[in-house]
Amino acid sequence: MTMTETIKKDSTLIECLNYLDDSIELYKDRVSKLEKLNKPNRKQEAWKYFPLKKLNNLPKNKGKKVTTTIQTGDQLDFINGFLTQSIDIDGVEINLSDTFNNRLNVVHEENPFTSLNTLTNNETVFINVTKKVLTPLKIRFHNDETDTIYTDPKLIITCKENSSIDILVTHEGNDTDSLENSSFKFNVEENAELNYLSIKTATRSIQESIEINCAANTYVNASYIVPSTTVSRHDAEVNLNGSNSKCYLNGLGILKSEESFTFKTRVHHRVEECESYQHFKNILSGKSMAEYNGLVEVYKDAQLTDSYQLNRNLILSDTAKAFSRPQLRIFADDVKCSHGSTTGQIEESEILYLMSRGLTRTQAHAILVFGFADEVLESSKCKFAHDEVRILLKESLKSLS
Amino acid sequence: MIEIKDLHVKIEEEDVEIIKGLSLTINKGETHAIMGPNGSGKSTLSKVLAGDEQYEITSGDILVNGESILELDATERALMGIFLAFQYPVEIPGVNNASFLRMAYNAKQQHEDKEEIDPIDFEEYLDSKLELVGMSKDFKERPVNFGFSGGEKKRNEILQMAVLNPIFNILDETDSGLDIDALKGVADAVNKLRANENCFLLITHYQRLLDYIVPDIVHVMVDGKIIETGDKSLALELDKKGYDFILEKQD
Repeated sequence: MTMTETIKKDSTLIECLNYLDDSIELYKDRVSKLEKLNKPNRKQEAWKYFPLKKLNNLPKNKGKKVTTTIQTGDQLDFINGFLTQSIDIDGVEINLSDTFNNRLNVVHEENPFTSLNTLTNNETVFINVTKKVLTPLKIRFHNDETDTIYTDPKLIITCKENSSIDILVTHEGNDTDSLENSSFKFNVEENAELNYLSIKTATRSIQESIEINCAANTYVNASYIVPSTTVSRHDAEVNLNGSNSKCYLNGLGILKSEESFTFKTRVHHRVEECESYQHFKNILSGKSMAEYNGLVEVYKDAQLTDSYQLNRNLILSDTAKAFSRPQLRIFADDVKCSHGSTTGQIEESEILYLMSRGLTRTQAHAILVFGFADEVLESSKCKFAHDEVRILLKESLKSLS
Repeated sequence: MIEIKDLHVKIEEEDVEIIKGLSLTINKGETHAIMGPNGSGKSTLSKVLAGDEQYEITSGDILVNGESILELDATERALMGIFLAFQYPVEIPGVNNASFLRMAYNAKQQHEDKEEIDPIDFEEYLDSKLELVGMSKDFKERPVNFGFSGGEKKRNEILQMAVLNPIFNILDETDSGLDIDALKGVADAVNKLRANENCFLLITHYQRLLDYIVPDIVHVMVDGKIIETGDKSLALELDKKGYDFILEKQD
């Protein structure tokens, strides 16, 4: 039996073999690891509510590089998962590496897609922010192929000491059956500030893994707005490694028909006097599904931790489902940790308030739903993008009614 | 102007009567106050007048300028000039005060077959009302009631009242949660809005509010009915002797 046949027999993520775009011989070490990479199943806590049947038909091929020359423009552009356009912003360095993934720990315990990204990615993009940058950095991901494809962008963003930057990421495109399996790693060094806003309007599925490592005295605000999706899963891991660091995670999903949105967070308070705040909201209609699975872990030495998790779901149909699991694991004895969760409809008392000002029931409902969504956007510090995102939110909410 | 005739109200899905035969007439230019202990049905009355659909009117009628409003929903009632300043104003993140007020103002304009107001003209109009109510211009950009203090929320209700210029103003426990300075500020604004063309119904537990907004007539409501009506002195007497004295008088 050849190696390929053995793998075909044993590996449940066998489709992914095609994603190794060079000869299998060359990537022997990766293939052997891919062999062990099983598809997620219901028995795994992290995948309990995920619509697994949507993983049945993964795209057969990986996206191709459209160009070998990288242009310079006003934003970073990724086509089919590969960098095609760079930028020239003072204080921002962009580098590519094709060997990086060999140095990473391949097997991710809870998410095989994170491991898959490491195995299949051939080109990692490194972004170093070296000073306080006033121009926002915009990054766009889109595909140019009509066939369904798998893409695996990997970005490692380092905010050097005392630097600051606003980053806007957009995932665009009408490519329903494709899969974007992206990986973002942020290293935020001492006294640095990172404001990050990710907007997904693409119809392709997204499996995204996010790792944020915070040194002392850092500020991170990462917000995820998903105005439309098919399947969207974001696994975020935050390590508060230096004291006095603050991390805000915000997320909003607007879901209709059979769409699904999962946000899994793991925030590790490893040292004292750090703060983390999570604010995740979903608006669900049709037969859609949303899951918030958050865990804040406070380590023994992380005294004076302050953390809060809030998950709110607004259900607009009888058939939509929301799963809310804010969790705490605390090993220190002097901390302030709490969480909240609400799932329900718009309150009649709120409708009455607006109607009593002369607005119709329909207008009142629309305003309240928009307000529910906008609160998450307001939590994002990338203010320069808010007006444009509001337009997207309004369009998306219209499509629910 | 406003005539409530032998009104009986229960909660839509329960068989509990809350208002048990209430009658009241408020003429143009008048300010009435309804006082009463907790659970007497005061707030229910204010919501019923505004058109809250969770209450069912089992008998009686509410007339505005001779026309019954029972068949009108909350929107239609607002457009005809009924305004309720809520005890607990709703927070609306995402919509700033100025846009919201312009939306409400234009809904009324449209209802009266008038042209919608130009945003710049509205800005000027709104500034004059902010000044009247004693609010800073910052409130135009802030989301409606979102992150407002208790006092700011109540003041914002009066701002909405000033902008929409209703004919029948109901203030449901506008004094609750206000310190004395905030209460004075709100009362001053209300007094400026009192005119011959409109009327007011103040709903309150305490006499304190009536020191600043002096009513023409004071009613005492107990167990879903008005059991005593008098002038301002009735409120003072209640304040001294408590509601028991009225109940004893009834017995």
